[in-house]
Amino acid sequence: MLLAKDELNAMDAECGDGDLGSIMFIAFSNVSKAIHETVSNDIGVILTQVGNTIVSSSGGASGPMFGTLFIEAGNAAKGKSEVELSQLATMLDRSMQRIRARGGARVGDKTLVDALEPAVNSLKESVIANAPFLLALRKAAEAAKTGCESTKHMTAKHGKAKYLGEQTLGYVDPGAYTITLIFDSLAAVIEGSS
Amino acid sequence: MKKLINDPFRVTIESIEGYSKAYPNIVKLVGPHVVARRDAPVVGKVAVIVGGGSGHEPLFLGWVGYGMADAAVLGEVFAAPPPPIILEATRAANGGRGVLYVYGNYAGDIMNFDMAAEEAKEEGIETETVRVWDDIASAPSEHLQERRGLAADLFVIKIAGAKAETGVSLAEVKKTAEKARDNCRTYAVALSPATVPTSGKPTFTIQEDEMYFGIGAHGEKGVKVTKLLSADEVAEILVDAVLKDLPFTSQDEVNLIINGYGSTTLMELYIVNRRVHEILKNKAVRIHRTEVGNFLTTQEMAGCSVTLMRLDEELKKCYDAAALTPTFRVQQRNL
Repeated sequence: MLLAKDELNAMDAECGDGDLGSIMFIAFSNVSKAIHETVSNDIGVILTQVGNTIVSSSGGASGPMFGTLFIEAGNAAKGKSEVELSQLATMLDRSMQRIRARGGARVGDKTLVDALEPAVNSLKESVIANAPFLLALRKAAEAAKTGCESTKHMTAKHGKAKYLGEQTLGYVDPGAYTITLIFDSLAAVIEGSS
Repeated sequence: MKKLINDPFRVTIESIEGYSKAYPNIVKLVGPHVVARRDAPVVGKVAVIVGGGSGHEPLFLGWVGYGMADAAVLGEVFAAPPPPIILEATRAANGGRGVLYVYGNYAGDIMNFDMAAEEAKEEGIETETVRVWDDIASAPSEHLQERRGLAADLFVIKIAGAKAETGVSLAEVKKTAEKARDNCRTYAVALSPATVPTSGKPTFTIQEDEMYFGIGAHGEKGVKVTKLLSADEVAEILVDAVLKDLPFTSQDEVNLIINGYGSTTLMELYIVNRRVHEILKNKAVRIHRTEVGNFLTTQEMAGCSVTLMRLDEELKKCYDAAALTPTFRVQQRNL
């Protein structure tokens, strides 16, 4: 996330005010600090802390959206020091419902939901198929990427970009791209520790 | 783009600090992102809290004081403030009769203020919200609630502040503020873009001989590009569009804002105002008060907007009521 700052700013400049990269840089730098300072094995506690840090560090629309992603996942993971695939799918499904309720976006509106929903659906399918954890994460990351790519052909219906109509065609939504970064990181970390 | 700043990531904090040092007789610094009137909380009246992204000064920040906002909360440049600092402002201004949030209709502001309102409720502070959506360029008139907030923020905040000073209930302050909001329309044009300090790049590109109608308050791209027109031609386009949208009719009485976006000179704004007054006179629309200047700016964007608010007796009285803030003052007029 920290390395993607300039890229995200450039994407955000196409359809907004060009600051998503800087916002995410600050938010996730703070998250990094917060994680190091959190003394807990409780995944719920850690994720909620991450989410609250994002909400207080970001402002804009990305704060509530990405903050909710982690806060809701954390709420679903309270008391757990390990999660398996089906629990992860449940956690992220809850996040997605809350994000959609708060922001009002659906698939096709050119937002982070266009990457998040395919990723969550992919995890659910992997649960049914009894897929191994790492494989499921990789598939989810792929689904997020495909969803994100598809935003190129959508006109924005939310956020500052929604007033630009057809001028938003041809660009990937930076919120969706941020989701792909999150899933990529998740897969990379699990790969690194297995 | 050259700017007179220090660390671009500290522009908001340093700007608020500098502002509070300029007006210690009117405002006080509650936190790095929050200012309140010096005597806050004012017990026994509804508190009006305004806010949104910084970078639009004097918007929000400049209008804290008697007769307008009890507190202003600012996020980073063009970014909505997060809930914890909105709550900081809420607690600092709460005088026990509830809190009215007034801000521009933007997704980020809506989400963050709504989250703060939920938490304020848990703390026993009642809140209501009025969103400003006067920009006719951002959505058709069938979808008013999709429109962006522009310079009508000045009118709505002044009206809300005046009504709150009379000591009425939260519901009544909200109702009057909504009436003000519903009677405002704005249309804007930009001649050159703004630059966000942390990104260092202009928010849109435009040719030297072009202008952009319908640009947003954060420098979002406009909806119609034309060749550079004269001030009179621009005045005609902006006023005609605004008049049609409400619609305003002859014999209506209005207040008018000619708002500069940051780098447009007062001289230019006065020239635009000259023609705007002529047009409104020709249409038998009566102008009660005119405000010309920088109210809602977009960093160093060049451009202007025309805002009209249709008046009734209540709105007129609220607008003319006394107010004392660092950048907007009304001496009580004997009506």
